[in-house]
Amino acid sequence: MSRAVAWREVGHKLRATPVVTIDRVQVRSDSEVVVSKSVGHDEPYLEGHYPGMPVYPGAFLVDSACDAAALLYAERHGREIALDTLVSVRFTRALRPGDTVLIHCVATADDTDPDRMQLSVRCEDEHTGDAVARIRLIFRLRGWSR
Amino acid sequence: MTGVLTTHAADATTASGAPAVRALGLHELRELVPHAHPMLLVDRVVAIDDAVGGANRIVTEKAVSGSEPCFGGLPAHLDPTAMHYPTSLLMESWGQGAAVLWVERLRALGEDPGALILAAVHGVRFHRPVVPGDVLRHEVRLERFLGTSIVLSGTSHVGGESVLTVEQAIAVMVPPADDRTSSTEQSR
Repeated sequence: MSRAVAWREVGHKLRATPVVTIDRVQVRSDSEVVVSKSVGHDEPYLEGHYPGMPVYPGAFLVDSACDAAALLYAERHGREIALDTLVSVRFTRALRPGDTVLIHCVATADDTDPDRMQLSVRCEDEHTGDAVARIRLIFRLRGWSR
Repeated sequence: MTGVLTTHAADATTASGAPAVRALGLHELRELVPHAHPMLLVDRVVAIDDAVGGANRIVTEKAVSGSEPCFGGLPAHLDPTAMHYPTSLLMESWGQGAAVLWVERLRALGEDPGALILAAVHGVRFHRPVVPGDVLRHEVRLERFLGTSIVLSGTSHVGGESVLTVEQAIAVMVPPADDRTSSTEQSR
């Protein structure tokens, strides 16, 4: 299966990740994508984070953002991306089973390097609108034959 | 808790004045941190450098195996990059060393450790992918200890080759009485 085809199969694992990182996706433009992730009660890894008190690891949101960006670039630009730098991440609210998080991603071209892209990510609770996390990432762009 | 974990500032240096160095096995780690399988992502503590006031550096190891849950459930015939170890688990594995450091530090001060929350991270560089078969060696340095929060930095290597650099991570403590009930506890 080519990665270009695979990225369209939202709701499945398409690379090694702790969980299925994206449940729904909406590509809004060549530079914007919004995805959602619902935290299930039976997510792998939650039994160890923590026993008797499952809390969704905030770091997993970085995986969701990476997959959202990969999907955007596969669909709209025909390019593969690779995470280079996590510029910053700030967590403001914990997620628990039953929560759904909306992950808004906006990509910006790097004026100094055409093979790099910056992604600004805003994560919020779908139901309450509460801020969950803010993430800034830098990716390397690579060629890709579909 | 085992005796090796009950370190006090008074015996934190050797006779020569050099920092004391200790190691911990998985059975001891399980008692120190709240994480459990499959989210306990440190196999052993190679060294904890003690200094006056408590531990200030820790070196941990984790062997990445293709049988870990993160590699399960993948469709067939994906390209090799699909088998890269997730960056989330790489960072989490690095950060769990910080949790051990935190507990050790507070115990050296005679305080009860609460839960440690990773609140913010800046300047994390991923130098090369981690794949099954790699053995990660993490180093976490305590840059500042501010009572209820700590500032950390560090690196991860595989066989001497750098895979991760963390410029700054900020973690805050949730008091023991609140560490199982707060809406923000232990979330990262």
